[in-house]
Amino acid sequence: MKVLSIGWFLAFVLVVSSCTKEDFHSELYEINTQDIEKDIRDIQEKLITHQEGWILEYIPFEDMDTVYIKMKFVDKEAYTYQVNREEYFEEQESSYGLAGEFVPEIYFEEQSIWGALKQEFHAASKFNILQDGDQILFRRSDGFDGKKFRLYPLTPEKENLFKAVVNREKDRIERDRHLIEAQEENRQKLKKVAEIKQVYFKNLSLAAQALAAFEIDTNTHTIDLTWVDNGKVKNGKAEYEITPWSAKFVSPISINGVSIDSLILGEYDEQENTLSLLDGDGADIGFMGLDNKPGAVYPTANEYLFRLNEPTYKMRWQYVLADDEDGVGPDLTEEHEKILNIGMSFGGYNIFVNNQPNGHNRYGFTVTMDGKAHYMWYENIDEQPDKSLLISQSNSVPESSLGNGNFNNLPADQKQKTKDVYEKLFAGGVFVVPNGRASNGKQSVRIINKNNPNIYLTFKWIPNASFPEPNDFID
Amino acid sequence: MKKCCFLLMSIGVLALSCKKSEDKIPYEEPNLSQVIDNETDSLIKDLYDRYQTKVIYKWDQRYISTSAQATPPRFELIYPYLDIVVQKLFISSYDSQNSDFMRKNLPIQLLLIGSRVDYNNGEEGGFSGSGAAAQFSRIMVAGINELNLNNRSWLNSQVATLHHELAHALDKKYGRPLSYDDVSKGLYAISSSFRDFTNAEARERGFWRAYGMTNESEDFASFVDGIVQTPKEEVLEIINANELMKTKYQMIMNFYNALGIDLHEINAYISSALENDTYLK
Repeated sequence: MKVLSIGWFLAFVLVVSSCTKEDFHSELYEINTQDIEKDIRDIQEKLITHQEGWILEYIPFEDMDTVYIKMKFVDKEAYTYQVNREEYFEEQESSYGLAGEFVPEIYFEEQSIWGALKQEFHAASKFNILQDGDQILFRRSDGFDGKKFRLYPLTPEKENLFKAVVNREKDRIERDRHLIEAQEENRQKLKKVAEIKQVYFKNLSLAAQALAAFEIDTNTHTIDLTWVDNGKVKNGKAEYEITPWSAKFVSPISINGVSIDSLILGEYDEQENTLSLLDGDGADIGFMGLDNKPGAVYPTANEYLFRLNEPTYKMRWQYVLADDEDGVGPDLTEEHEKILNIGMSFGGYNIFVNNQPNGHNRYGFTVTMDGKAHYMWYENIDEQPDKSLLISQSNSVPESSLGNGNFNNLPADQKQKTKDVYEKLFAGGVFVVPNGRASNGKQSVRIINKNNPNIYLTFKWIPNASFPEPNDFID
Repeated sequence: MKKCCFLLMSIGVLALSCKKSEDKIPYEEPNLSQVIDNETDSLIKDLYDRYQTKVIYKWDQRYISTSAQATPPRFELIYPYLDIVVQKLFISSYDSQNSDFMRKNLPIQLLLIGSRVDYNNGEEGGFSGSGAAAQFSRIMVAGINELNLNNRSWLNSQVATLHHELAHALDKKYGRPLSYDDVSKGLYAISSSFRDFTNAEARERGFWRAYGMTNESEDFASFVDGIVQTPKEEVLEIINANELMKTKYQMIMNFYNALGIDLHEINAYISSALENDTYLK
């Protein structure tokens, strides 16, 4: 019986061993012979025993430059690394581990370059390690994509490559630092121009020709430009961005045929309050800043205000305190304040145009006190080639007072105060600039001293039965 | 001697039986060579290599009910769908927590349908489906042809469908938590339709939304996709409304935690990805 059993057993073993190999093998069913723990051990050993180290050429994010990560695996937990990125040029220590259920996985401590890349570029800190022949490949194991990155054994060639990319990155950082400084310099230059106190005659001048008056708003990054084109005043706003090389306009702006897409900023002249403008070769081609003429000369403003060629057209212009706080230029304020403090009730400044068709009292400039006007008579207003006006006081009747006893009784030094406003305003000539609409909806104009545009006085046309209203406006 | 003869005879008989098998129809090796000449197929191959999951996009009516209507996905939309929706939003939301999760649990077939699936007859007559799961081996997602990566609503609904169908697959694979089905026992829609209930009424009965009242399986899957689609604070507010909700929530969280997954982390991951979508392009 025992022999029989042994016989059956031997027969069974023989059959099973012979049939298994021949009958049950199928190409359709591959036997998984993978020993993941051995794979992990092997890769661990490979990483550590290559003492020169490794270099991973990693692109965490599409379109991003390659990040070169040089690593030396010290033991099963520690490794050192260097990267061609700022803050990681020098060798640093960190930890890692190997795991995996199907494919070996390496995971890195995130208080390191890996965490930084993860935070900045949604990169990974753990990777499947794949082997393709002799090549070792990293593939992020969080499923984000299937891209593979090669881990190269560090050779002298790779070491040189690493040094080169580190130096290149250092150069880039230095260049960026320089560009940031240059950008900041440009920002400060433009800020200085924007903060010039003078109200008028801040000009953009190219090729010795005033192209436009400008105002800069450094908060909204806009330059407001005003110029005259074919007798019409034009206005345009250019949005700009500060670059290390220029103030670059978002959209080019064209001024009388000159197209400007950027302003290359030169040196700021503290004495002249001007910022030189350069061409692409660094040559001086103009400036932004203070000038002694309006950036936009308003061709019809003189005639509109003073009716120089219409001696019978009578007009009256007026400034009153309520007009606006900017009505008196900042450098004329002191004189204006003195009039207010004379001790009489101030009514306003008035200009009477064509009071007489000719003669010493053709133009009257007055100060109204206690309801009565004190007159200063002027005979001539001469238009100069630069469109400025020379206004000369009549010598025959330099001044008169009409029924203002209080004023006549003032001491001479007090009377002089009323004259000071106009004398300061007219000294050396004036420009007339349209000023839009006054609060009464009528035309407003400014008379601006030619030599100091912070000296100006603002007038509006006032309705009056004795003076016909102009049919048009100037802007 | 007699015994020895018997042994030899036995061996002879068995040897003959083995020999007989050599006469069977010869095995012909199938032609498995594949030509991959476009990025879509390349990505499908890559997904297969990584997750052992076959992406099926070629039309075959057998995958849906014979009475249902649907259209196949447009080929040019498959790559962005797989890359962004499946890979970068769905798979990585799990594998960023547990690297091997999808390798173990992503069903072996992922079926893509272009339109939604309109069921005309039978139990689901008049119903338009955005997805389906077949046991633990296949999940189907519909509506691929509406792909618009700038449409957050579409993106969210697609990812939600994938979570929902995966929940079905996990349900089949591991089984719902013990006694989960008892929590709302007697409160399912049964003979009536879930459409007869508002979501508020459903929640009073312990369901995330009315659709979950269809049956225990949909209850589980819709509760899961509800948690995944909702910020944690809001989830806690919802489940604390009654004991039924709280109980199911805890069971589901434990179920996923045992698989190495925190469902709230999935919500945070996807929300973050959609907020800063630079990396999804």
